[in-house]
Amino acid sequence: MMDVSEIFVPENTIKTLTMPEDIVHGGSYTATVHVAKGASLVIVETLQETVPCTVRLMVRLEGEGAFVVDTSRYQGRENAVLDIERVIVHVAPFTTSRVDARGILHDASRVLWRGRVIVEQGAKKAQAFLRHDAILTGAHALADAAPFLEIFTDDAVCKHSASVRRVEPAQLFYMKSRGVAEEDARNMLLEGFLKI
Amino acid sequence: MISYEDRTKYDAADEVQERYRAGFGVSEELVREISLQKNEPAWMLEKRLRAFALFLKTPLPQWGPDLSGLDLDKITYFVRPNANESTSWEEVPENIKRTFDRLGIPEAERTTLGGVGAQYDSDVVYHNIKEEWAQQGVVFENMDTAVRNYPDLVQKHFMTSCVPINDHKFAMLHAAVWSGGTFIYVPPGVKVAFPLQAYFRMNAERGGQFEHTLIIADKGSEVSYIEGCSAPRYMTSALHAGCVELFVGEDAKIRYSSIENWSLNTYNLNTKRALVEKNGTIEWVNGNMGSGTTMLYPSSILVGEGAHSESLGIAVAGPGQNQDTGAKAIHVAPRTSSVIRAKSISRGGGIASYRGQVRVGRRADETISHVTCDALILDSASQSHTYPYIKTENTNSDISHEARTGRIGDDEIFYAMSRGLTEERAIQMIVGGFVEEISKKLPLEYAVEFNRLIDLQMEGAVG
Repeated sequence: MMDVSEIFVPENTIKTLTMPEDIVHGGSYTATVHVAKGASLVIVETLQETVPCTVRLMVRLEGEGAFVVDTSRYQGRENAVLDIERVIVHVAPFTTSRVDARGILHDASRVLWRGRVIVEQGAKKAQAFLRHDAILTGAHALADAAPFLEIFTDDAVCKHSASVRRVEPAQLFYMKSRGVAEEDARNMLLEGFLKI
Repeated sequence: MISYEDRTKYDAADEVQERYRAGFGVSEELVREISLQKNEPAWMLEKRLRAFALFLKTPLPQWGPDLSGLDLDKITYFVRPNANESTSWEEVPENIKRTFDRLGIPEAERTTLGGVGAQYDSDVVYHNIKEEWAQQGVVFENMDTAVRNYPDLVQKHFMTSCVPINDHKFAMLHAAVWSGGTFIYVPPGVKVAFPLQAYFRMNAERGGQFEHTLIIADKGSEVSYIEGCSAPRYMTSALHAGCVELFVGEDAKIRYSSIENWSLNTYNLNTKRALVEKNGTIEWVNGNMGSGTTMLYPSSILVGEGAHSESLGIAVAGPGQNQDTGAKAIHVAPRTSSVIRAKSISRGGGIASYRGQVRVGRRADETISHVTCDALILDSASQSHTYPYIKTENTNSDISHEARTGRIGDDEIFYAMSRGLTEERAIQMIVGGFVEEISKKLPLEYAVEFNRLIDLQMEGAVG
């Protein structure tokens, strides 16, 4: 089922966007969020998938001082294919975006993660930080991540980072040397990785 | 030391007599004609024709910079200067010699280089390698000659496993009409202490240059190779679609540096790739300052355990330029590592993009890869984009990417100006520091040329 929606965050308000429940069982969700002057948008998304699902979210920072923070987390299991897209458009001056997305891929799950931050020419003094981290644990898992930055002005500070990592052997060793069983230690580290 | 007053040195066309000039456009007859004039073996002609058939069937790439201004039927694919290849500088025709003298080529050979090649349009006009390296079995040849003299090595490596002829549209075109370029073979264990150099000059209006560089570094050997490129400025577009294939053997090391300074009407659509065997190292140093549109992504395929790739790139996009550059690292074997550092400067409406890819295969255990991009935007008309792709199938590897885009801080400029520098000088100095990491990797003469070119690019960047 395709669900498309348009969401407006009015001036000087704060909205928390929790991803709708119905996409959790293999659906697709597409939304555009318009953030007005001085408003803040908080995205809290927790996906726990075993089947394919698609989430496409576009955030337009249209008013001066608009702000978005996105701390979405996902975990793929079995044969899940997660198709996640985030587009953040800085339209107005003094806008800020912080995207910190993390996920773990178990079993034979796959993720196609696309992040795109566009800073338009009018978005003076914009600040953008786009970040995506993933850990692969499944022997047949795959992560395909691409965080894009498209900057059309000189008066902005934009950063992004992306990583695909393993559970650090040194950290595992440390936990084991303190008497934690390897499996437990691994789970604790993974849990810690997803903590906000 | 080479001195540069302004850009006209590169942009001015030379008057030169041509021995052969093909008409506009590419056709099967032209492909056959090139092969015939070069007196090539049958397998090479067959390869050219196969590539040409593929080229006709393949559409232009649908991603990246706009190529609509490139009219492939208005390009001259094969122009031979009226000169034979020579190993003595004195024998090179006066007018061609003047061009390269002006660019500082023989000067550089005398002082720092182990060997030099110079290509003018489609033909290599000068080639020389210092005696001591030739004695140790190092081969430094014109690619056309190598096809005849080293058929086994060439047939095995030429557009086969590294860049196959069906790689992409411009690789197909290159395979069909390639001419000239460099062939280097370094025997096992030989370490060439001085860099070998080639200089490519595209002089013909609406010309196309398709030189092929093939470097084979055998087991345990080391070689460093530098390439410089330029072309005069015409009102019509020119095309450069070169191809570089590097074979890094076990424990071998190749450093490949190139400074591309094509004129602003050039489409620079280049393919560069290295296949790295066990414990081999490839180092890429790329400077892109010229050409109107560049699409260039040097790739390292790490096929042997412990192979390492280092890639350092800088792109400067001025008015009207679109520099779409980057790097690729494909990790196939375990314990391979790659480091990519990309820097870009855009100003005066230029567009600088980093487009890179890191791929880690399932077998590539304990792979480490790190990518860093830094971009400077000098004015509000310019753009800077970053498109990093990461694709991993391995659970035991460590891949990271980071990028930062911004302008020179007002406080930095203020600080330098309060010490008595003009604003322009202050920006030049800060940009100089920004690119230093790359100029440090170049031999002295090249570093000087590189810094001058950057300064030249930055002129008028203020106000």
